[in-house]
Amino acid sequence: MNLELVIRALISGILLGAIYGVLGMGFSMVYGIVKLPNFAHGAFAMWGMYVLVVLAEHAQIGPYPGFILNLLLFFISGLFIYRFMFKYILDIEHEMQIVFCLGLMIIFSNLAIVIFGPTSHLLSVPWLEKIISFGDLAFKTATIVGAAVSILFVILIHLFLTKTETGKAIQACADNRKGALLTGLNVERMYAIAIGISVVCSGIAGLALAPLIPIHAGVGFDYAILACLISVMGGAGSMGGALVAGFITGLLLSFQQIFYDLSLAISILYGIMLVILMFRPTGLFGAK
Amino acid sequence: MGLLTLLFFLIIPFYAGDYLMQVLLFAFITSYLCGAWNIAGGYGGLLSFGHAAFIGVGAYSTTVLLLYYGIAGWIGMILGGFLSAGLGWLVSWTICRFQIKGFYFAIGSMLVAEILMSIVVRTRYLGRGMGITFPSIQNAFHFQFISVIPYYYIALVFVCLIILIAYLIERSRLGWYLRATRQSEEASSALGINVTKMKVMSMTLSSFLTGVGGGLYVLALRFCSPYDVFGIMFSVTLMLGTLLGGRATVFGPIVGTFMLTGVKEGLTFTAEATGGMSSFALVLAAWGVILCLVSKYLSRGIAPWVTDKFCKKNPWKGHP
Repeated sequence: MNLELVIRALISGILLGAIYGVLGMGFSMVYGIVKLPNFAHGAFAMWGMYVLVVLAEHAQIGPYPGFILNLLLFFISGLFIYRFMFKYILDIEHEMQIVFCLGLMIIFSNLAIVIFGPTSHLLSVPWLEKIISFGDLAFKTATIVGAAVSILFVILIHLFLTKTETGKAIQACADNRKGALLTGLNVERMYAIAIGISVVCSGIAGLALAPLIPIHAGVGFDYAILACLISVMGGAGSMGGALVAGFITGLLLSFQQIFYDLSLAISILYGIMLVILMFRPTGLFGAK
Repeated sequence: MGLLTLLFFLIIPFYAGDYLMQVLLFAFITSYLCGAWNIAGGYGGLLSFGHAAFIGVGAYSTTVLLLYYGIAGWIGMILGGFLSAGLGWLVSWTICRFQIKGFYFAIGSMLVAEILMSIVVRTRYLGRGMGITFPSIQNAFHFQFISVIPYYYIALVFVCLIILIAYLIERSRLGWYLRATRQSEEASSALGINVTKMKVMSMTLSSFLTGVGGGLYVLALRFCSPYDVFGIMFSVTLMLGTLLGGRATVFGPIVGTFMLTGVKEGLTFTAEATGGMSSFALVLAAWGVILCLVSKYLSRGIAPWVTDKFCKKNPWKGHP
């Protein structure tokens, strides 16, 4: 194990961590604001990947020029999902909400199989495949671009939640739903916006990860579990916590480069998560 | 009514084909496991995503004892049950000691199963990722049969046992304590219920029964694979079956599992009839729609809905 390898693992871990952080943040946001464990979260990441595949293969738009378009698409579909689905399950019990979201997950991933076929796709965009090297360290462009976009988006969400009127209203809804209703906030609208943003988060994670992995319908479930783990580790409902947990996850998973063994890295990650849960039963930054 | 159903399942092996028996056998084993999940997840309110850990412990102890040491399958099942009861005790003690609740507990229990899986995958003694295959021999004392029928009857007995256990729990003081704990921990502890003891008891009992069921599962399958018995899909199946059928009810887990199995077989049948992967996926998506509708409109599960609707003299009316 030489030093260069460790540094490379560290940096690529941080880059990946930013992407995972955005993924977990979306889950955490819905759990904190709408109080809904959205297991279908990973499905949106999967759809984000497929959108890129379609754009790269069929339309002549390159993946990242069409990026803003994608974000709008995801936000609007988030609003629709709230209006036609999640709105009706806010009052049922937690367990049945999980069943609902699992059902949604099954619908989304199987629709993806119907449309795109069961085989996995590889996204090939020449300029994303290029290797950027800093001295001895070399990284794929796709990783750096993905991480940069993710971090930019995190900053944007932070500014939105703390500086704008709507953002503050959303936080008020998260703190105290009845109080927010009494002061005349439109709670339904805030929920819709929160779910829209969460879907965009997941979509961005999907867009950023798409050039790095083979894309098939099963990744939705994997990323749903991962998002859930990240948000639990950071403390469900805490967005900063999700980001930190994302970095931890990314770092640990990138140590497969040192051990040459993904499953060992994953089990170390799980072990650390268990220890965190023992000493901080509501996650690293979760509310008591 | 119940007796008629039992009679039907008793005589069906004389008429049904091998394939149907196989399907019914695994439906029974899964209903038994769902019933075991129901004790912790339904009555106790400990929403566990990690019951695969107990299944796996039971399965591997049975396998190792039978194949490496020649100890009879039924002894292995019981020993495996005790081993997983130990694990269940440890898990429930930990969650009470560190106050891990609700959603966090669900994820934590899933982590336990995943960690055990990765340990087994790295152990040469336990066959690594390849799993362990059973030889196909007939030895009634060891619980090894070539035909499906004996396993079917054993599984039927197990299902009857779990119904009996659930019935006893529901009627006993323990059951009322558990349901009170599920609804409000603070209120029930204020009323003098030992919440920690209730949680530990329900989890330990549930994990013991799950471990025994895991042993039966690998004996019937004749193959013990870590990705199968420790896999997250197994935990999800147990949770889904119980929640669909109706948690904290006697017959809920069985109804739910039979619905799951029926849909799965129906899917396979439809996909074979129409041909093609995409039609299979389309039918599976329809299954997702059913899940969503059930969770919204029958949020207590199917079994309570049926008893409310069709049984005039409903013994469980008014029970939470």
